[in-house]
Amino acid sequence: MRAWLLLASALFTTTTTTAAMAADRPPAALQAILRAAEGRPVYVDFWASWCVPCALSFPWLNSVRHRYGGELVVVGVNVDQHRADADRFLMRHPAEFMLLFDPAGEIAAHYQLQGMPSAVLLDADGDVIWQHSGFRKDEIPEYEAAIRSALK
Amino acid sequence: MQLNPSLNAAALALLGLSQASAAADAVPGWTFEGATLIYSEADGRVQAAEPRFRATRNWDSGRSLSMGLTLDALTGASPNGAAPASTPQTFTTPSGNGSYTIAAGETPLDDTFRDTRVALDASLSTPLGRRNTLTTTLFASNEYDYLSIGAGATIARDFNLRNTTVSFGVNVEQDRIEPVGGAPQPLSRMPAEGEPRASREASVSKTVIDVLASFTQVLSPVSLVTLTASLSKSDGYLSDPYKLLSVVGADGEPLRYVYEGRPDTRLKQALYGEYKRFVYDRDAWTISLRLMSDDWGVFSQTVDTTYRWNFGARDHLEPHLRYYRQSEADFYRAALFDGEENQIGEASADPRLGAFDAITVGLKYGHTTRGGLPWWVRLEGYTQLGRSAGVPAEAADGLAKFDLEPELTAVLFTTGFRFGR
Amino acid sequence: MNPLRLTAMTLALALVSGCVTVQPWQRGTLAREDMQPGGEPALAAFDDHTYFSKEASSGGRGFGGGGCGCN
Repeated sequence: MRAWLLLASALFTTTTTTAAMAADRPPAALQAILRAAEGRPVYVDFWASWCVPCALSFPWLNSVRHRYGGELVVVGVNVDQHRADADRFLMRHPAEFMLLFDPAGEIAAHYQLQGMPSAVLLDADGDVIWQHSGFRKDEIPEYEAAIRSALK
Repeated sequence: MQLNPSLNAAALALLGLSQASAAADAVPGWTFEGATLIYSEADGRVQAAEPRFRATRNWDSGRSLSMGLTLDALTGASPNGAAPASTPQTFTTPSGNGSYTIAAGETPLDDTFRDTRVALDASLSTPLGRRNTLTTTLFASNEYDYLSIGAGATIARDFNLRNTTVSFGVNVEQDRIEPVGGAPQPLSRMPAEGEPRASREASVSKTVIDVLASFTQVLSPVSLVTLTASLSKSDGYLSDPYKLLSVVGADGEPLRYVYEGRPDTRLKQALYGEYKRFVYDRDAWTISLRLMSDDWGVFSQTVDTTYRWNFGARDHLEPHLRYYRQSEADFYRAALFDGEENQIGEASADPRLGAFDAITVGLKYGHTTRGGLPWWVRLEGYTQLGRSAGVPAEAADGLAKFDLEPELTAVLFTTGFRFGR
Repeated sequence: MNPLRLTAMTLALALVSGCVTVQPWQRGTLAREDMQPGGEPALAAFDDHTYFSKEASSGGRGFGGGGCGCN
């Protein structure tokens, strides 16, 4: 019995997740995008070819890009190890927003993502104002509310 | 890399398999699966055809519902438990109204056996918060002399960025058996054809409760391990009402036959470990080990390994090797010595409770169509090699002239496909 | 405590404490269909049913009930 308790405590201690919003200065690739955004907030979406909800999120990301394109920059950060996997995915799920490729996961590690897909909303200074993991259609109003409040 | 056509959490949970969140999320929508097993034993023994159908609905919310139908048609002969003899042997059929005769020196097989089973199951998986999944299942299975209904629940929880999954499951099953001719008294004499018989219970039952705890750990971006510990408790009528034992004299020849009798409880415990690794950035290798023991004295070891060689983007070949070894149950007897049936309470000559080794060798080929629909075929050979056990010392010399550990050889052909959305 | 249980426990502890954390964006291989524990569900179901009918052992990776009069 005591051994099982020991096992349980080991489980819980390795579980303590580090706080999500730890970014001070965005990674270089994103800094370039922030400069080009000229004061607009940046919506960063992390996706991969093997991630099922990522595929489901693409039509919505395209529509965000079309509806808020003047006031918001949408960037999709691909984290596939092999570029070919990402390209095959893009044939089936066209992206109408800007793309970055992060095969080593440097940008992803910077924001300590908790799941896939993940979204990070940055203000003009590059500070994280909202972060979320997962994509579900019934949560879309929540995502759009975060975008609208960033645009105020 | 392609998206998974379906990762069927609910279907896995039906088996009580931990639906580790190593698994990616399923594609929302419907998935349909069909698969068939053709099982054929050598020498005209058991032949079976087992088609299965499954429909699964995955919702955007992570909820999933899976419903399955299994048919199982069996014909052919199986050992009735009696030992071979130097003269032809005649056995009464279970109904008491017929008989069959086995040639001298042959293993007695009962070929009156024919059965069709229909089974239904349904399983619902619901996420509870972001880290827990609750799966509940119901199932029912019916054949002409057997009805089984059951229900189960499994809760799984993710830890550590979904690198660790722990699950607990409980399953309860209630069976009702209405043997042809009733359930015979354990170790009572098999009456001759047409002979008046002692009254028998027309309906008997058993209850099985299973609990299991499972732990899956991602070890690296390309490997993971699952450990499962389980307990299974059976209570009630656990004998096979159609199985016999020979009661022999010192010469090893049968004097009469008695029905088998097993204990009315059984507690099994098992430990299972599975390791999976992606190798050469292309293939998947799996190896598993199972240790099982029960209070009937059976101890078994199983090693199972597959290597999935993804030789093309949409094709794979998968060799499979399985080795199994079991010791005999304490009450397993190849035959009983004259009078012994009155001194003991339990005995069975069912070869499945004897000591044997078994080997499975197989090869699977799988293909995914351009449209992303997978299908596969698998051909396997299965052989049981008996080891001598349970021979009564008083008749050992007399029985030595017979083959008491006959081999069982079977060929299994399985095919399946899946389509969805 | 029996040796079997002790071994299992030690193994489990070693696994939890000794392994690297795989980040959510590094799960491409683990998301593959051929990397799911338990393998193809239909094949697992056939195998469990066949071996349940022919051997004294059942279950292990899952529930061992059986739900048939085949044993």
